[in-house]
Amino acid sequence: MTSLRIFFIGGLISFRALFNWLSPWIYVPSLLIAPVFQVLLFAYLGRSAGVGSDAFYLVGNAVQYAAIPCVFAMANTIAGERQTQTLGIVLATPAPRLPLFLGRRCPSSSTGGWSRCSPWSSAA
Amino acid sequence: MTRIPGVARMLTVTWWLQLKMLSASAFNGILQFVWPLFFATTAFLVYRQNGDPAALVYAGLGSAVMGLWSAIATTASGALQRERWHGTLELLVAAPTPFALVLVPITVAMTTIGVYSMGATLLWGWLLFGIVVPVASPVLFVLSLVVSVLAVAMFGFLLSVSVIRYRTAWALGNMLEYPGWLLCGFLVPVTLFPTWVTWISWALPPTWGMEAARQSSAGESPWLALALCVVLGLAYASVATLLSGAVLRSARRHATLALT
Repeated sequence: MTSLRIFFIGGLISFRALFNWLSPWIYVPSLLIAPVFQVLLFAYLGRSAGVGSDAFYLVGNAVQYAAIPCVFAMANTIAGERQTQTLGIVLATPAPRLPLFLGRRCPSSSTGGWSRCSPWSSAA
Repeated sequence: MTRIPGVARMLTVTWWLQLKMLSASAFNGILQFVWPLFFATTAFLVYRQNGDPAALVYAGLGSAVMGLWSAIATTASGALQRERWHGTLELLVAAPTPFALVLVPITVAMTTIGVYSMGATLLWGWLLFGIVVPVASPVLFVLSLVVSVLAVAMFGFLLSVSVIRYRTAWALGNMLEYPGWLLCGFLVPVTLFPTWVTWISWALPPTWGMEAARQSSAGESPWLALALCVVLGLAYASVATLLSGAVLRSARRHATLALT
């Protein structure tokens, strides 16, 4: 039960405290607009070179962009704790490490999945 | 009489100081090289499927100049935020030197960092993909690059001033990287876009800088593209100078310079 609490509540609080993505001024440019332009860049690159279809670049970039928040956010979870000088306190707690860090990973991974929708919706 | 040499000295010293500060971080330096190389490699791999050697040369030159845009988009938008974090923004604003003149060498230094990236991409293309960019008119080619660097820096100047009161300006800068790569014709001819998009492309100085570099590389006359690049660069600088005065007056009036 303690592990579940650390996983869910700890993860949620960490996400809210550490990530700027809660601000639409950061979330919208970073995770909604940038992926659309990345898809456009590669789709036009393919058109210019006469290689692949637009769908090929759309699917590839959507999956790739879904991975970015997952990788970036997980790394930034640790970096954010360090920057706010709470990493030492977090590591000094008796909380089990696995739910502690996996819980922080889940909200950011969900964000990655959601941001994948941005290229799809732009294509639609 | 001493004003012009004094300004020239201030511009040179500030440019050099900023260049040294930007070069001090090994992490940022490596990122500046590596980040455009990922995209350049992707472009080379896609264009190589085409089988046309001229297409690879097109991608090689475009990918190289692309580094200039990358160097300015994110860093220029965060330039004033960086000064704010360092606690030096108020000092710069209060200095007797016009604020616009302080910002110009900062953005020129940022674009100069992009020249490293340009060299690295040309070397990468040559070593791994055998892409040799032929330069028919070396003098005009170098002139095109110098003008491009200065024009891109003026765009960065306008960008940095425009977002001075935007607390999360770096996010906007990150967002601008892909549109710039797309719209300035680095990897894709602007003629592929809808007409209204080409108008936006033509309003961006790097589009003409890129065009001038391609033309001088191919032995064609780049003078028209160069002239348009210079005119647009000066226009951006003029707008940025006017805007910096207005924004600073507003920040003083509302006491929002520090944004704390």
